[in-house]
Amino acid sequence: MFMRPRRHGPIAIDFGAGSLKLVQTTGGGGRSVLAAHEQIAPGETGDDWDATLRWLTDAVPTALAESDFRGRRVLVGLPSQWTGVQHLQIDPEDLPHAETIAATSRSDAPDEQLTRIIHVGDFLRNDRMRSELISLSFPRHAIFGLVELLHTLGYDVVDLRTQIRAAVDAFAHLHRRSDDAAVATMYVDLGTSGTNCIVANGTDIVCARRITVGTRHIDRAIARHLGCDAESARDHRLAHERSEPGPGNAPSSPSERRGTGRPDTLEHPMLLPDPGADGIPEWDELLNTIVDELRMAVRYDAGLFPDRSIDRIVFLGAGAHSDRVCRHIVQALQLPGQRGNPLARYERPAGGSVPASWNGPALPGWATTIGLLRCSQPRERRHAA
Amino acid sequence: MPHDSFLPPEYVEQKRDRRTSLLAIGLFAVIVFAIAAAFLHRQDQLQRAIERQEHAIERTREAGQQVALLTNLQASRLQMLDRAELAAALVERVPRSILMAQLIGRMPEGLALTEFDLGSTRIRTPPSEVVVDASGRRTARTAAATDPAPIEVPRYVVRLGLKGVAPTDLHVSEFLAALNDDPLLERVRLESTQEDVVDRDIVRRFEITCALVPDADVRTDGGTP
Repeated sequence: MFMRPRRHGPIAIDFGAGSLKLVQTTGGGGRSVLAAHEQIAPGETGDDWDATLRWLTDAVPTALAESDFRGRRVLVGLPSQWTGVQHLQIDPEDLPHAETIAATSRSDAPDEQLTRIIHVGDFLRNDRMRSELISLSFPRHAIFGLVELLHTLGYDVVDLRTQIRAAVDAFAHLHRRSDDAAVATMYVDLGTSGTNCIVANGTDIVCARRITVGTRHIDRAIARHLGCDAESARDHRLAHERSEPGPGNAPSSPSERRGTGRPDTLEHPMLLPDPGADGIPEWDELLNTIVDELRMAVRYDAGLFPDRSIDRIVFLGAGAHSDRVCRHIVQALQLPGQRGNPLARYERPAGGSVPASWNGPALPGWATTIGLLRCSQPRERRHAA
Repeated sequence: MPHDSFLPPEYVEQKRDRRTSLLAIGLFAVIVFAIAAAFLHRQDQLQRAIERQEHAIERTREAGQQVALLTNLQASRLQMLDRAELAAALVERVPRSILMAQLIGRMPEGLALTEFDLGSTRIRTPPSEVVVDASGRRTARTAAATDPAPIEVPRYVVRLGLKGVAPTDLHVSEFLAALNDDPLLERVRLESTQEDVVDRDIVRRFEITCALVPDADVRTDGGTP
């Protein structure tokens, strides 16, 4: 009663492999962006956590100081590069010990892992009831490194979440009604260091997969093919990314079937056939690897939920700017696909400093950052076979 | 916090501990402040009570001085009264000439006094009250054993003896009645009467005694005590 409600939300910090993204919202319902900042990660950090942490030690204070962020509370999105994703099936009676079982299953990891469990539901497999779990893990020392970094800077860490959860939460507003839980969406987060594939019934994650092919690998393939460095390859890729025309006679999406029209946060469904990978065979191989992994995810999901199919694909991440990649996946999986644009719902600061990438038509790369701002409620709904 | 949050429990506990510690420190500060405020308030009240007590003591002391002054004045007044009474006792309140004039004036025709005796006896103050102490010994306690003995005003009983001769007993009776009516005299008594012959005349020889009224004073009202 004596507490004045906070005017500003916490600062969401997405520690991505390709860039460090920060955003803070304000106003009623947090629908107005107060400040945003993006800092591109140097390519040399690679998969080395210590080098990444050293870079973050310099980059985070700079990013927080350069923009008009307010408050000391931060929400952290863990980099998917070091996030382990694994499906487990255990006896329902062992459900209280699920985290211990998940930690044991990750005992082969080089570092001690902190594990969290998403309980998908109980399913009948080979005449036995099994609990389907998704185990998310992250190196313990890395978590404490991030917490200590922010704590040293005087920030209060409100939550630490995976980009997998944040990607789904970025589109939670599309699944507010009870019958939205039946809408199955595959989120394909085409990141720098890898691709996250998440299948969710509404906002409930039922399948997750980490594919170790990202835009960095595509850039390297282009660089090898063109004989240039990674930066030039990246520029080449970005220059040929978008060539998509207007919506045309697009097939209906699940949201349109509801009669509410296309939501702002999803672009028009992709129609045109894949024009090919500019004659770079290694790019095709990498895309096929991604597609194969996504097919496996679709099959796994079909095994869990044989009575329904995936309704749509939502492309996220920095790689989602590429029409070629998205269309290739849509064509290969034969599923309607749309590019996510989570910032479409938010008012951008007038005259304020925003990252240069915000000048583009869509910002799928900010999905996980925006998703961190969503206050998720504990998932109580479970799925059964 | 969602159950898939990676926030370390140690960090959450540390935050909770820090918040609890801050709350405890805040409460401790509030309690210490309240105790200090209560102590200072109590001290202030005590100081005021001491000031009121000192003020009351000062007023009592002043009143005591005034009472002592009044007592001294009272004692001085009593002393003055005693001295005045003592001085008055030294003055003859019934001059003998007036007494003689009174007697002569009340004598019937033909009655003569042959002898007039005027004597004074001093009245002594009765001895001090005798009390019995706890050991059964009889001790004399004066009104103020420690005070110096007050000066006693001398008081006298003045007795008059009248001898004379009268023609008849009737004249003696008239003279006796006249003396009884005199406000200066009391206890008038006919002691004796007998017949006698003086120069071949038969007369009645008589003897009367009386006393002067102790408080009689003719200086103010002309003979009325």
